[in-house]
Amino acid sequence: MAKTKTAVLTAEQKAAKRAKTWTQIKRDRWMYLLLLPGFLFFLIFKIFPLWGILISFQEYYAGLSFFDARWIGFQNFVDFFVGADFLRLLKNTLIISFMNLIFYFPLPIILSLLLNEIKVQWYKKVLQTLVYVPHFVSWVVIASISFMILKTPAIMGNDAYTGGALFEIIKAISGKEVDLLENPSSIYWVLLFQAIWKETGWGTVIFLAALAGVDVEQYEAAIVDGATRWQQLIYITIPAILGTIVTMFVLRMGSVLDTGFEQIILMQNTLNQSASETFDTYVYNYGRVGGDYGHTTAIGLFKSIVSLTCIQLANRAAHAVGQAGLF
Amino acid sequence: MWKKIALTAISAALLCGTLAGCSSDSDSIQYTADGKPIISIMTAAYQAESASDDAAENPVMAYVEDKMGVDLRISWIPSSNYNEKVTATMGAGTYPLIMKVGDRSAAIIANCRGGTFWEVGDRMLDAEKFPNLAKANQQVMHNMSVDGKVYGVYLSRDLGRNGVSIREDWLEAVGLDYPETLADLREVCKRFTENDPDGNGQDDTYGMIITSYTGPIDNITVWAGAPNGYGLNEETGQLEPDFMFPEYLDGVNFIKDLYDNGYMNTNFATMDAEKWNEPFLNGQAGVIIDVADRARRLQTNITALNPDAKVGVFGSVARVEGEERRVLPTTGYNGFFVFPKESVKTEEELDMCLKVLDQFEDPDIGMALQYGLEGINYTIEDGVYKHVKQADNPEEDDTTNNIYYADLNQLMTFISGNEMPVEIPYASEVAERVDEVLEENIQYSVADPSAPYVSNTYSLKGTMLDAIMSEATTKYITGDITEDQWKAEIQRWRDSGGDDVIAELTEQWLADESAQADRSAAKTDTD
Repeated sequence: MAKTKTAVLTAEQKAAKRAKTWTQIKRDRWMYLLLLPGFLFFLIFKIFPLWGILISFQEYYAGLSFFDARWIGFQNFVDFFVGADFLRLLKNTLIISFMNLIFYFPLPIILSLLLNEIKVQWYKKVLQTLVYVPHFVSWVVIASISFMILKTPAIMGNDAYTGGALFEIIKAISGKEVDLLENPSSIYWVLLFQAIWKETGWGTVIFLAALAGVDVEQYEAAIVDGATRWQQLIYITIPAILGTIVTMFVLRMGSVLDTGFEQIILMQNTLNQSASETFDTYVYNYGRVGGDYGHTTAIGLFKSIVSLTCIQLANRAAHAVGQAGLF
Repeated sequence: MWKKIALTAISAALLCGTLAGCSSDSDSIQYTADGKPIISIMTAAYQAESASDDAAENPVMAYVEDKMGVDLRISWIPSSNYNEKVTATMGAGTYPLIMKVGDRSAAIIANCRGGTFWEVGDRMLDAEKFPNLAKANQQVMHNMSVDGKVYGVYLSRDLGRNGVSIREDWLEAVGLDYPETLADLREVCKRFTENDPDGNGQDDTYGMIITSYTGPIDNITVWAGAPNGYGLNEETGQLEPDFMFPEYLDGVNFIKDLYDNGYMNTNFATMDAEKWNEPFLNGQAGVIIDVADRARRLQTNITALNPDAKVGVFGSVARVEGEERRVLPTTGYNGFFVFPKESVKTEEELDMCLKVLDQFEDPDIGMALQYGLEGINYTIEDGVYKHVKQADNPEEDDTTNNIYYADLNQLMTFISGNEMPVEIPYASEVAERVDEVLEENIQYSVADPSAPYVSNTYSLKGTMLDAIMSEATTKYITGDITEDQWKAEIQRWRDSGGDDVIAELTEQWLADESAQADRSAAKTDTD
């Protein structure tokens, strides 16, 4: 409707409309002025730097002038895709990401449902604060602690040398010397466990907020109808926060290739590298340390395109099952 | 009305804040109020706390700056993150006047070619202007050149610097002499593990300490007959990497044997190189293959913990009895100082910077940078230097942890040979022996025929290619992969670009007349 109306506007009406817009801008000029810094922020720091993507089509190293660097078309992308590392990186990234999605993603939801069932308010508040704490411990500290408790002794198979506390406990129980840090297949579980320990509590924030928004009258009505606690959970609570869960899931799909580099680079060593090298650590090693900005920008661009695709697909899927999704 | 003013003020303040970061300042060399040029230097720090560059609080710095007539501003970057910092500096484009770069990485080579740094090859050899730098070694300059041009002043290091530190008192305890062959060295490690060298009746010692740093592997494989880096394969007529020679696997198998028998630490793959000394100092193990001068530091540090401990040093061992021993030499330099055109604008300014590096080599300034000041850090008795220990600083000794001159020796290039104005006696027996080892090693050193050449493929993929083989070798030693799988990794290395590296290096080597005149230098014959 609106479209057809604008289409038949006369020149006069157009002028009048423009004048009205201008009057509105003039009236709200201070608001617009306040908007300006934020607008400039996005323009200067988010939109303008996008031209830097162009270096992914160049043979560009840190320190070179953009204008001097040689243009090589899609060579960086070709090198990356046919290179020996690509499949390995993709495999590792996807394994870490999907293990995270399957094992970690439901945990904050379950934890917030549990917290929500606690009726003693002060106890709930204390618990809530406690579960947030690990989020504020830096990865460096977590990696050091992991290393301390899991490290293998100087000489394996010789009882004169002791390893980390957990290593010794596992050895005492199972009689086997397990090198969790040096084993490509076990490093995934170490990474997953660290992520769960650190982020589960913090992840509850958004779900608890959604739970707080559930209409109390629904519960009251359900109790009158004789619904058990379990039935309340299944028929009221979960449907009420399903939208939030789906939104979080869609957002998570957008970062399916982001494994975070800090945690992994800290846990990486020569023996587990075949399993722990991901796109993010690769970009760090080659771009940040090696200075090969052109090649690594190409990888970043590839990651962005995949993320955009994943987020679109997940969003469509959300719409298809009748959820609002993200947009 | 006040509301409007407040709003305007807030908006303006926000706006200014946004734009403030955009101003830039790209003047040439700046001067202090009393007319001294400000010379900014970025270099690597190796000690826990480096000396301050503020003359007001550091008398050594006051002395040096006064003598040189400059104001030094030093950015100390921890050596473990140094390359990352160089990349970040180049990415940002805001340079100091003098910047150390660690190695000829792809990014450094690209920047040399792209004209980011001044070319200094001929300029620094002007003996009138820079009497000390002019003594630079032509071979080393050739090795660090890019397309035949030299873009920096190298930090000279002894070619024969690699050596083995060993517990001499343990050798006596287990009834052995210094090892001369690989078999001897194995026997040393075996007895250090099994024969209770510390005599405490417990099975709590082992032989060799290896960390995640691959230096010991490089050394042992050269001893076993593999080339240093690249060598000539007579059958193919190409320069091929060390691991494609069967002798390399012999060396790796030597280590694997130590690993399998528990004669070395089995946690080497995850052990940080910074913790290398710990088992040695704690009396757990007795052999470290690294630079020979590590023995000197080990002796100093171990004496404090165990006065009876005696550290010895030797250069290398022969492959088998009756054969001459081989030594892995260093490249002769440990990084080089470059002068970015972005900060050093004119040739006059470049001369000023070179002059600063030249002056660091002067005996009296070099003495201050390495040993501090007479009366504060040392006294001279009968013309001989004597260190004065700093009060309240148990970690301090003549070469480390002094608050006034820790790390200042990193400013020196040591190109002129480090003549000292006074005689500096050796701090320990082993310190004297270290210097002898450095000398002895040179005649046995195995040159890397590929050193002067740049492979473009390697520049592009070197990190990845190196990772393939270091990972494979580590896994082979720990038994995670078999010999066949290790060999398959060589094929993967070749397929991933290694073959191009071989072809490119061989091509440059064939085109290099001086190299072709002496082809045998590239051979690695051990028979």
